[in-house]
Amino acid sequence: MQLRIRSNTSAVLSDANLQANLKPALEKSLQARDRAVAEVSNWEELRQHAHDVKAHTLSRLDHYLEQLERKVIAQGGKVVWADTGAEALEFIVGLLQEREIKKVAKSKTMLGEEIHLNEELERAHFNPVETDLGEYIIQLSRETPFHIVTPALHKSKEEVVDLFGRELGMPPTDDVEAITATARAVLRRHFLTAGAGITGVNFGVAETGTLAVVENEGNVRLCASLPEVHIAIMGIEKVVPRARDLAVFLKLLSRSATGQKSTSYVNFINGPRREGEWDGPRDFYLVLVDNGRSRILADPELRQTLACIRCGACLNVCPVYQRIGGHAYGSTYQGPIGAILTPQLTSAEAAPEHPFASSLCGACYETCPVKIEIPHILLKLRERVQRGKQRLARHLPLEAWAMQFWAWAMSSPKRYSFLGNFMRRVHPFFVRNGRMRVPMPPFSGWDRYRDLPPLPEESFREQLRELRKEGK
Amino acid sequence: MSRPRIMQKVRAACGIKPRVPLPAGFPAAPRFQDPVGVFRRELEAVGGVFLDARDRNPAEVLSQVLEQTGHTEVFWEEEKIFIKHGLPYRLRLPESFSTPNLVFSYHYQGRVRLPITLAARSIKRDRLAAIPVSASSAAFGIAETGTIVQTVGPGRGRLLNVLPETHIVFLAQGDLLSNMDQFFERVQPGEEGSALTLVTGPSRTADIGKVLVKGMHGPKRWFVILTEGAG
Repeated sequence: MQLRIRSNTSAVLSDANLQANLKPALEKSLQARDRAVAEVSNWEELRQHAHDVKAHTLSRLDHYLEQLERKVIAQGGKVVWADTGAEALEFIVGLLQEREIKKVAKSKTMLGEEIHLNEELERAHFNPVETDLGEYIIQLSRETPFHIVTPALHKSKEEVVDLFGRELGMPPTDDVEAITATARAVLRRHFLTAGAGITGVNFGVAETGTLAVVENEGNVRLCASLPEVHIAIMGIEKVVPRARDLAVFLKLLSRSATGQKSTSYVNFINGPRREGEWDGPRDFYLVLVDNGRSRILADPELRQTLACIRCGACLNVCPVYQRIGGHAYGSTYQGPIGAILTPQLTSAEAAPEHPFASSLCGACYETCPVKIEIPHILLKLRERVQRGKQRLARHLPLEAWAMQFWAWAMSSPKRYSFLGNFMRRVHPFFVRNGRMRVPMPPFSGWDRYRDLPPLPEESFREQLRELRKEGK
Repeated sequence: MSRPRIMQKVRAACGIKPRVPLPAGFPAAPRFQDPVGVFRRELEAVGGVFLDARDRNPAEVLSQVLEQTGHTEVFWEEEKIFIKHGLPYRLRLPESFSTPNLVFSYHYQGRVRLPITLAARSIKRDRLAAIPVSASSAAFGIAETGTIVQTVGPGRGRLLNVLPETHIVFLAQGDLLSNMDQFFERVQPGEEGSALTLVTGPSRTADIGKVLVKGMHGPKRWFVILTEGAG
């Protein structure tokens, strides 16, 4: 199956509601981010440091994964390795069956979205309950996240009131506090009856075996405290070497994601409950998921994609995302990071339009707290898509011949100037007043929004020669 | 088991590019001249309530918080944490100490009564979730972000700090640090207990129409009482 973007855009662009609300909402996030970043005098040093720590960690990922595993096991946790999403799902489903657990309280995890955890659990007749308010809204309306940090960004208050009225029997209200209170009460009941909690992981500290999870609502705290079993799922790239590295990464993440100096809660989880502790899970599982990441790691140019800390700042700042929003991407990860991550996690053929969903303006790179060179990676991925297409050139002979002719013409100064002269002579026969004189498929339509300017009589080289003569 | 397969792929992938050196730790930020002032400012900015009990009786401040919030009872897990903060109390021993989830509660009616009478009782999880006000002692405070560090240990759980709508934290002046760098100099996560949480303000969400609402899953009202304790 191929993921397409282009065919989704016209519907999104003509959605007046979305177009009116999306940009202001993103601007709000951006302003908060900019304010929080401006307060930090050494922001650039922090970015560079984080970039360097990630580059180091990825270059020794084998070492750090083993260290993390050792530490988690030493604290009484169990570590499970999953090569693919399917393997991770198989383990989780098997564990829940074995423990006869039906209800699972989930916190927001992008990896969970990536491996379609909820669908799979529902198909196996389990009851996964999203407990992050935004994710809960998305789950009730049977949608996918619109944004990696604020999944229900596209939902208006009125839509949520309708949804909660329909699904939870909430009386109509205009008060966001009341809507939130309803969700709190409903989800609290779910928390108290869930047999397992599933969370994601933002950073896995190799040195201490600590899993750091950031949040604002308190649902991660509850997912990791109330049920008897806690399952944390983590992409293998999320390791950091030392606990003190978190001082840098947490600062970069919270300020970039939501403009907060710190999120309301930063959870450090070190295995299951210990002797003498009277609450917390009795069993703790860390599921380390590869699902294509080791393949990305093996590409020297694209490896840095794995440094992403999922702050979502590149989505907020992207002029393409600001217009088309998250759903048009059709993939788990959206925006600039989604444009580079999706084809790499799947394949260039599976997401051929993703690398092109960008104007290459570079705002994502400027904003990225770990300095991932997204525009550079986009170009590399475009190159791959084109190379793939060249293999299919038999089906597109005209374009392939044209490109070959172009390469031949451009590779010699004589040929180039001869053909330039030729074009300047024939151009007026085809173009007048910025329009083509007669429709020329496949070029017709091209001039509807663009002018075809008249060509000068002399080439640049000829003009330069003249100027030089005059100068002498 | 997929471990060997994944490790083999990761090892091969790491080998294609030279190792990048690990940068030295980021230089620690300077400490604040007035950490209490910074702490107060940051804590209030995130919607917390700061109460200075350094030259007052902390029990009186606690009573005032209860009065303000319209409650007459507060629950906490360890009687000993209150020794640290100078709360005078008289302990009424429970019938059985062997039951888990033992919480201490303190009743007051209208007027401040000293010493406080503590009564221990065991409590089931459903009742725990229905408790309206709880109190705890912070391991540390971090001034830079207005953060409180909560740890777990024997007799000191996770749930009582997060389930109630109102939570009151006692912080000893000696435990107030300037920034995260100083925190990581003092604390190795996992050394003390299985969970440690940095708490910065009440529970919050902005998922509906980007409107900020407090008390999504955790406390809606969050008080920090600074005491004279040496830390």
